[in-house]
Amino acid sequence: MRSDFVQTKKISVLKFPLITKGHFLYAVDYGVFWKINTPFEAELVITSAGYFERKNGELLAATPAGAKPQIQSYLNAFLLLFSGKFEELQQLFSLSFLQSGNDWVVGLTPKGRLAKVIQNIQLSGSLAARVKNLSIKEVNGDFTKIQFHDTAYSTQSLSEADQKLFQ
Amino acid sequence: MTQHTPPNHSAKLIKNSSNNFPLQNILPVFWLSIVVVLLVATAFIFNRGLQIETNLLSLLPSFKEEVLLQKSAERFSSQVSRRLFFLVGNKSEKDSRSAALKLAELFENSAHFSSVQVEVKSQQLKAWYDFYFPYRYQIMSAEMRNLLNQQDAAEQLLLGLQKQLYSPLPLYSAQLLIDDPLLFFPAFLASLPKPPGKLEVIDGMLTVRENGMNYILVNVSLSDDPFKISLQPQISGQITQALAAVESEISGTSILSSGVFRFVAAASAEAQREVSSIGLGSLIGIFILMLLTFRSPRQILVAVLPIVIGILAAFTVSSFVFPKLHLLTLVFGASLIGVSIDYAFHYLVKHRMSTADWNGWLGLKAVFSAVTMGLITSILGYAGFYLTPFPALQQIAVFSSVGLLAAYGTVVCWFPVLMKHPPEAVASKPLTMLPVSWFLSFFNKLPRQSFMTVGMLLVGMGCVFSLLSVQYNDDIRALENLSPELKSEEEKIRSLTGGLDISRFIVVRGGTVEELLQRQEKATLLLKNYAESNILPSGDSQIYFQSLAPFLVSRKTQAENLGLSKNVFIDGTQKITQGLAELGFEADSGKRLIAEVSQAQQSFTVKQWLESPVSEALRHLWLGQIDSEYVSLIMLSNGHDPEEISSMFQQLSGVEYINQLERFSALFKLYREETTRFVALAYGIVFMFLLWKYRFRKAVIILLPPALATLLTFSIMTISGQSLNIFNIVAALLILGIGVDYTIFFAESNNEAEATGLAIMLSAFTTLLSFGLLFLSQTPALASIGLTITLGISFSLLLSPLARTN
Repeated sequence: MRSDFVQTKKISVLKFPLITKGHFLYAVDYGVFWKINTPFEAELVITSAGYFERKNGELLAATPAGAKPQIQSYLNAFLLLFSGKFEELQQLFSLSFLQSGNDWVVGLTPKGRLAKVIQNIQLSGSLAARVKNLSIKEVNGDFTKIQFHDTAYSTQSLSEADQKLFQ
Repeated sequence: MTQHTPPNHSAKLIKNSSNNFPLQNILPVFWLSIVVVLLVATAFIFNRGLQIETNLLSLLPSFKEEVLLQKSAERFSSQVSRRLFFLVGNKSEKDSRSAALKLAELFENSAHFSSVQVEVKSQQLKAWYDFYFPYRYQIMSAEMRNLLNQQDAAEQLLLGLQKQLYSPLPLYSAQLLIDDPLLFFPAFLASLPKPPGKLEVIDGMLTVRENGMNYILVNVSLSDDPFKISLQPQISGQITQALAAVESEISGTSILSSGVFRFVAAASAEAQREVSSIGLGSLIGIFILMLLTFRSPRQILVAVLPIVIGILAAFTVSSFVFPKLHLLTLVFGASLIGVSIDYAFHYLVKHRMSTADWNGWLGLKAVFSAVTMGLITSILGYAGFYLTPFPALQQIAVFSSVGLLAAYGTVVCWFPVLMKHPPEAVASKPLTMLPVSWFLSFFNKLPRQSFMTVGMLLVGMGCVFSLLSVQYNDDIRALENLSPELKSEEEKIRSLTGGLDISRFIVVRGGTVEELLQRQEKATLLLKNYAESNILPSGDSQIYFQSLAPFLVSRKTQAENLGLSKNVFIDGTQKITQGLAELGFEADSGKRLIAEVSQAQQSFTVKQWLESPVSEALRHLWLGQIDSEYVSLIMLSNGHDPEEISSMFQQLSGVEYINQLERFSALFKLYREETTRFVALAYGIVFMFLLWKYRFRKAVIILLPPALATLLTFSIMTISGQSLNIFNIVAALLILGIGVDYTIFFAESNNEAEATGLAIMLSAFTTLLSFGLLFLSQTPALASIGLTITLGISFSLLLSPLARTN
């Protein structure tokens, strides 16, 4: 799954929302490659192993999954959201499903340790271009909304250049 | 022999012109009062609680110039030795967690365990915040310092904040953003060293996963000294019970355990078993021999009496002199049975071979000189140990000297009263006399003594020649007896938790706390660079170390850091205020930062840190004040190269790398050499004493058999490929003490070679029985002593008739 995204993050103690634009790539066996274009440039790689910041292929900072348990469970959940593995999702969340015509909404309320950080997650889309919106509401009142557009799906394996993004 | 003994006997008595032994009316009562005092003292000691030292490392002497290092190592090991680790494993994460909680609960319900830790307290992050947050501008990571030193520090701080804010991942708490918008505190937390190994905190528990198993670490401290021998069986039992209870209650659970206590308890249980089996074997052997010789159980009881009193006295007096008796001292105590019975046998054989006109005090008179000479030479031989700097040797010196003296006292003061009546089996030779007669008649057929002496000297020279290729092994690890099962469990735990090396570490010292902290920072910086230059293919460093430097920052560094923060905030006021406002922070955020950094307060003290929960996992590194200096430790993982590390700190004063193993092996070598010289000295002292008492030729013939026996023993061990260590050399001194007894008894036998021969053979066999069993010991040090003594005493016995008078 490749897409452009607009992330709107409302942090409770800040006066106005922070808006990020960039490019998004998800591949089942690799993870998420998150490229921020504005307001500054940054490359983030999110895999089950951790959260890494890179610049032109060089590692700038790494937060290994093991370092903080909350990060680890969050990363797992974040990656699962795009995987469509409902059985595994059901272990972490109680799910609710709504559909009207081509549009659908999945509501996820976390169970267990994730509930300490996240209040709920909403994933919505239409059958044609599957995921359109992802909203995450945190327990502390922060709210993140990610809109995906120009999404393309492919069942082919990653090109070598793309594979390098995850290394 | 028996027929013409009485006339000789009485002739000698008449020559002495007195039918009484000096003070014969007072001696028994005098000794009774001493024994009563002894019993009271023993009761007092048992009441006080026994402490037996099993740690071989405690045998090491202390050097003046090394006192501080020695004390540091001791203080550290007394902390570390109380710790116990359990890894509670189960395939199911949930079950492993409940099993760990169950185990912790069982330990908490027992008085023997304190500070049972299974959950990393959830408030800990809050504790860190409460403790360190006020100092966020003065206590910071090296990376933050580098950043602050750069021209565009303000921009970089803002960029860092932006990245965090714009990240798709959840953020820090809202309050933190307001209080610390430039994220100094999170940067400090993130820079702190991660726990070693594969451990991670999952839902408040230290967890490690391996091969589908989920392990939870349970950390326990013992309430008491693990070396307290009286508590060991009880504590071991409780641990075993607790593990079994948890394993059976939650199926599929397997628990690994480690800790100094596990080894100590296993070693002392083994040693206790050995001591009692050696003691028992020795007593059974003695019993059979005596039954064959005396045909009466009464003599057996009488003969055992000096041993009991001797050991009681040895134990009690040593316990008063030394704070903790070493296990080796006690094992020598069990062996002392074989030595102190010499005097009893000498008297009892005299009694056995006498006739109806037996008088107990006159009998004593006949053996008094031999027994007294034997005692003096033995004590001269053993007491010299007291001059060595080895604590255990000093203990053995006191233990054996006191034991021998008490056994001697019992024989001299009580035996004439206990053996008042003539023997019942007068005129019948004891069964055990048979081999003695054969043995002595064999000696009578040998060529002249001078010829023998030359032959012995030749054999001795041959031995010396073979000893040119002698091998020594001073590695302390070869001497310890570590249970293999426990060792493999410990290695497993170590590989999973990344345990640190507790025998090789870095000692940092300073005249003031500040000096110590500054040195600690320098040393830590060197180590950090070294660790970063030794990266494994996996990306982890080969070297892991644990230092207090990031947690306890020197005032000097704090002042520098604060100055840096101030400069950046003042120079970048404009940028920071604007940048924060653009991100949506309150308009006064920038000004508030400058106000905060200017008001920064004097930092916390080490004492406050030690009292705070944040120091919980690291307190063992702070040793505090030792003598006039302050000391802390830096611990290292196993994989380091000792040479590189020690050379790294040569330029830094007050920082020393301690390699306990190597240091101990070096000391063992030094003191093996020292003790070897001491054996030579002991021979010299005994020879001087003999010269004062006898003529030169006789003195030589008394000393030659034990000397040759020792040479032959080491020669045989060398030829059979065994390497020697300090304990074999110590055994050589015992051979001297015991061997000289035999030759003196013969020299003092006044033509009663057969009776003396019987007494000597009885005592030699009891010694062999006790030491022979000793070399079945699982502790290599004891087994080695056993072998040396067995060979040495056998040769001493075989050569001893050379000193007999014809």
